[in-house]
Amino acid sequence: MQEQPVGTSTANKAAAYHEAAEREMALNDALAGHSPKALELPVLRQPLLPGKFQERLDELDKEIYGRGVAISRERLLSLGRSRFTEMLTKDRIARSLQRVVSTGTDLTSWPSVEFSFAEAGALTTSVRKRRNAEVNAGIGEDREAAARIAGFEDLWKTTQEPASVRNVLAFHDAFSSLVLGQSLLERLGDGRARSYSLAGGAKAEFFTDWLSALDGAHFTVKLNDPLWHIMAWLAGETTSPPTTLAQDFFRVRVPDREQLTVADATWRGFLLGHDGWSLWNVVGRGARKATHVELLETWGNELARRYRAIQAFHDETRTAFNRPVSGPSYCQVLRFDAAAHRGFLDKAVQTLMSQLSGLLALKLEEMLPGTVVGRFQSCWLLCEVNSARARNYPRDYVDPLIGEWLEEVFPGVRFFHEQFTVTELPG
Amino acid sequence: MRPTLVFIRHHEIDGRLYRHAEELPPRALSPETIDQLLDQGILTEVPERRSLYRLFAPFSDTKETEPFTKEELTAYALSQ
Repeated sequence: MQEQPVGTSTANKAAAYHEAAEREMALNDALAGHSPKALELPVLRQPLLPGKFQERLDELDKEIYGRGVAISRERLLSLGRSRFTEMLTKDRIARSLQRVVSTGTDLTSWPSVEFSFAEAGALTTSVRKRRNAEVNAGIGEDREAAARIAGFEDLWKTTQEPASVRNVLAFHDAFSSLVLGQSLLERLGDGRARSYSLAGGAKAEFFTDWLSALDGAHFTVKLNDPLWHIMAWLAGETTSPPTTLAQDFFRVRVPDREQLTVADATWRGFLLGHDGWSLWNVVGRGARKATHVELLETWGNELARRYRAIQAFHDETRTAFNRPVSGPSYCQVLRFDAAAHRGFLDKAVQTLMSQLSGLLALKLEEMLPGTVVGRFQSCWLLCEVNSARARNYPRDYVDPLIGEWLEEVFPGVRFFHEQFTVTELPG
Repeated sequence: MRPTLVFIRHHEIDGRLYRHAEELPPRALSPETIDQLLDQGILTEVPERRSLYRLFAPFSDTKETEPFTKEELTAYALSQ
């Protein structure tokens, strides 16, 4: 039996007993290993979607599928043959350096390429391995995850044989583009190719390789940097997007293509809330080269200072994913659940991108009925000139009307006309 | 279907020079010539390599075909 406190009032005694009882309950809870509470996911802003938006979009996607894209079979075959020859050349170039790629290496297969690089001792990265002390302390997991080479998209991480890496990736790009080109041919019937990938799909970057096979007059409508619009709206950011990021980062007046790519990838990574080794991974995949993680941290901090609302949004979202892992309720140890956080954010952004792309398509369809024949998640639309109205419609009127409408759905963010690109394609 | 045939050394066929490790297009040579070149060590069979000509039969004007993996179709091809 516990000794009663001496010389205290009844109320103080009761409070002391109550506190002791709570401590004992917390200790019992901790020892019993109760499962942590389920995370309460943060509630994000929702766009003011028009009535029956999803039904209208599903209907439009069905129509886009039914319309198909007009493709010239002869032009597609000619383009395909030419690209196939180019791919064979790239295969030959990749095999000319025999230190890594051997006769038996199948350049189309990641396991085969991985084996060849590993056998040549070329699958090493510059990322320092975790020490035992770090493993025991539970730190450095993000660094370890970033260092993994799991596919072609990670081959840039190797420090050895840069020429072989470049050649293998060049071949792989040609291969993947040709796979799409061949699938376009397979879906070609009555002069039109039909696929659900053309109605809200995500393969715009491969499809643009084959635009010269289109039959008839077409034009494209693209919202530049849709990710910026979504993140600025989610976070309530009022600062304008950057226009000279590469110049600022690299302290040059005329950045080269590589510098522009690195700057763009860093911007995208920042918008998506990546930092540290996660940002290193994202920038590397985008630019296909490793950038010093300290340099990226410097750039990330500069962006965080400039775009405080976006940084604050990410900081707040992260705190919702701090999961208690041990300790009593009054003194808990929290651990950041990076996987859950990334999954939540990526899904939310993807949903909003899809909605934005759908809104773009619905509005354009309203202005020029029957023209939209391709809609991609990156907010890129392919339109066919199928009527006099579509032919004569002034292209510089397209974006202001769409922009104004989008501003009603995403209040607080501006869709200026220079943020759209309308491009006529040669017929 | 014959495994992918690959040149072990440079070889010229019909004015075209094939380099080391390059694939022999299907039906470029008669089976007898292929067997001769295999015996001479100019060609070798590499079953672990898929044939680019068969994978992209419509663009390589090859009759024989070879399928893509499900992962490749999901990642790069247009869906149904």
